[in-house]
Amino acid sequence: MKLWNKDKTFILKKIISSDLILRDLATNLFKDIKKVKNDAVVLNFKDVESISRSFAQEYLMQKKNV
Amino acid sequence: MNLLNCYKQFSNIREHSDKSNKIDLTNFEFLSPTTLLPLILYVEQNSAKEIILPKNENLKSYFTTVTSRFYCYSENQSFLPVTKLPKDQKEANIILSKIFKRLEPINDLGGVNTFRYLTSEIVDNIYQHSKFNSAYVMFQKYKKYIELTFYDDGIGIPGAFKNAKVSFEDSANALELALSGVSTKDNQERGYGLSRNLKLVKDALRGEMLLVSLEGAVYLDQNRLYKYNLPLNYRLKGTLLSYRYNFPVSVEGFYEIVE
Repeated sequence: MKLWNKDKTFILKKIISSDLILRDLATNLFKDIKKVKNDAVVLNFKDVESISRSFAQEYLMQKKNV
Repeated sequence: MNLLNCYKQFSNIREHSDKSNKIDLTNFEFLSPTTLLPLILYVEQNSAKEIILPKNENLKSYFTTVTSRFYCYSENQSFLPVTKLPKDQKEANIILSKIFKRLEPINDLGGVNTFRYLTSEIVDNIYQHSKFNSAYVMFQKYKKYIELTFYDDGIGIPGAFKNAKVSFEDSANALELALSGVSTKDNQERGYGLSRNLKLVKDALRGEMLLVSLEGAVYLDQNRLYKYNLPLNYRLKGTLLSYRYNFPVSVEGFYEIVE
């Protein structure tokens, strides 16, 4: 399943849920981002209601390494 | 009955059953999540054993309902029945999200942030460290307090420390280290799950906490933290974590506490 649309946008609510909770899902998100053959992607947080500490920490760490 | 005694209740049922080949709940009047979750797995792993249901009709009905394995909720939302965590984390994330939405608004239980923190970080720890075959969560709201219980049958905290070559004196010490923020992951941002949950329960919610893992246990009541190296009949495969706190309660300065 393709996780991003033609604008290279990842809609997080759709591909994870409205609550971003588990750490490994942040890791997996960045694995998928790296598959996009483009140097810019859009992460769309619309309708995301909460982010756990673990997810947020992993997200920030992965973002630094992109 | 405090959390420690609820766990002892499970251990006694198991010990009796190991000798008699029956899981006898006849004379029980009350079973809390701390007794029930490890009991569910014990029942699952000993399916040949006969289960004698409680004589008490209310408890019998409760036991049947909460162990029915359906992902469902009571009408009055007073509890989350035994909910098995799937191996697939994406699926687990969706289940947790549904739990949050179904059980909230929960302002009288310390607020949304507190409730989510207590739940999310522990479930994430299960996926990060335990290597479980089976893992469960269950919440029960009583008249004056709520009990949140998490149980996995994985390698346990001492097991995870051993694999990561984190040194510890004994199992109880390994649990103490985990509660103080020592992590098996080589990253200074790790180790906040258990340690901040302990802080929330102790300082903000003024509740109880019980952590049992392999041969060790740590129990927190309103006064102090007790640690135990367990005799054979009280040892547990995996990790059991329970919180219990009175409500209504509000948490001031959530972000300072979990900082």
